Amino acid sequence: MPRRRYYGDDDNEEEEENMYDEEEEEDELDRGRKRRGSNFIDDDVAEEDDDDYGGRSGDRRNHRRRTGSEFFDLEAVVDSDEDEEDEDDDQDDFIVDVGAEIPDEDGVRREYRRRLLPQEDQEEDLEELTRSIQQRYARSAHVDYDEDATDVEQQSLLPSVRDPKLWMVKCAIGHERKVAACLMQKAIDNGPELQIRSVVAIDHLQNYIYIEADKEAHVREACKGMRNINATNVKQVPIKEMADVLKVESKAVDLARDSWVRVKTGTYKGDLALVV
Amino acid sequence: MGSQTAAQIPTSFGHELRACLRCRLVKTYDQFRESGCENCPFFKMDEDHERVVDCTTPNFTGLISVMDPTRSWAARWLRIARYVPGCYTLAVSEALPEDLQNLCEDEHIPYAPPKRI
Repeated sequence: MPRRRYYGDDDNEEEEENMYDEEEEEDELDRGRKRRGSNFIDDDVAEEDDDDYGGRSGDRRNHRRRTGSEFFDLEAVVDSDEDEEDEDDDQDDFIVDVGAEIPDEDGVRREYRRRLLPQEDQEEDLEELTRSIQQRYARSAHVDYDEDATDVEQQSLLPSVRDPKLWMVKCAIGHERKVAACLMQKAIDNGPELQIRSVVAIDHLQNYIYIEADKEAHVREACKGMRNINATNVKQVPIKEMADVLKVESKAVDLARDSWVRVKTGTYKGDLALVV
Repeated sequence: MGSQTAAQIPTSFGHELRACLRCRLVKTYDQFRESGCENCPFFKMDEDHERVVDCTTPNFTGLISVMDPTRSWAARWLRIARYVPGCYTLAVSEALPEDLQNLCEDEHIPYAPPKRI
């Protein structure tokens, strides 16, 4: 235990210091000035005391830890086989990290299993589990994002914490699309330096654009030197609302015959019209 | 940005802006007529100018500039992650004309008509 050795050293040192101190005290009678001069020794002693306190508290901590491990032992006794298996897996992972070779790992696993799990069929279960996991991942690697958009597949594309974020950036009214295209041009000109992934201009949202990037700093960097965009106030879109940003109300409104509509653009802008 | 060469960027933002009905790439009418669609060269819009009208629409909602399609969540969500970097629309409301849908089928090109909400 390195900790123990450390405190042992401390004690030795403290003893040495004390001896030294006694010598100093003998000298103190005729050489009080020097006593003051060697103040650092006193300091050292004081520090040792502190350390000692620390050591004692450390001992207390050790004690607490010991009671904790006892608790865990109890847990392990009543624990279910599944949890033990998990623990086993963790152990294996750890060994792999350390860099043990595969046959060694197998040997360790078997030994460990023999100790913890007397049932032999558990091993087969694990192999089966491994196979099913491999199959599942092999299948997910073939998921085609572009084709056959069913709702269920769309759900699987919902953003996670690992995906880039959407940042809401203020931009001049009426310039939303232009700003998006300008940033695209900037990305082409600058190459990979511009670390933003995409820029979204929503038709029904004036005064703002969304920039997709991993970090707010990337957004600010991309907006540097751009006209019509104000990146001083960048707001992150909550991950749960990211999909809503890209949700578009279908323009194909079912116009029923005999319903009244208002012309919005063109020569007849503002006129009321009847669908015939 | 990825290693892919990007599509043309729209040069103006008026009513001449059109979106490809298959890949939703947004460019001006003139750009489509001169160099076609970068993602859908089989439409041969640059050879047959009538095709530009058939394959593209001026009715689309929202614009998204995709700098890095492979690493963009939005591009994946909109299912345009496999296309070249460029300006796309969030949605088109029309479907590709039937004869062009057949063309896609013949060329083994996937086509997904827009969903009606």
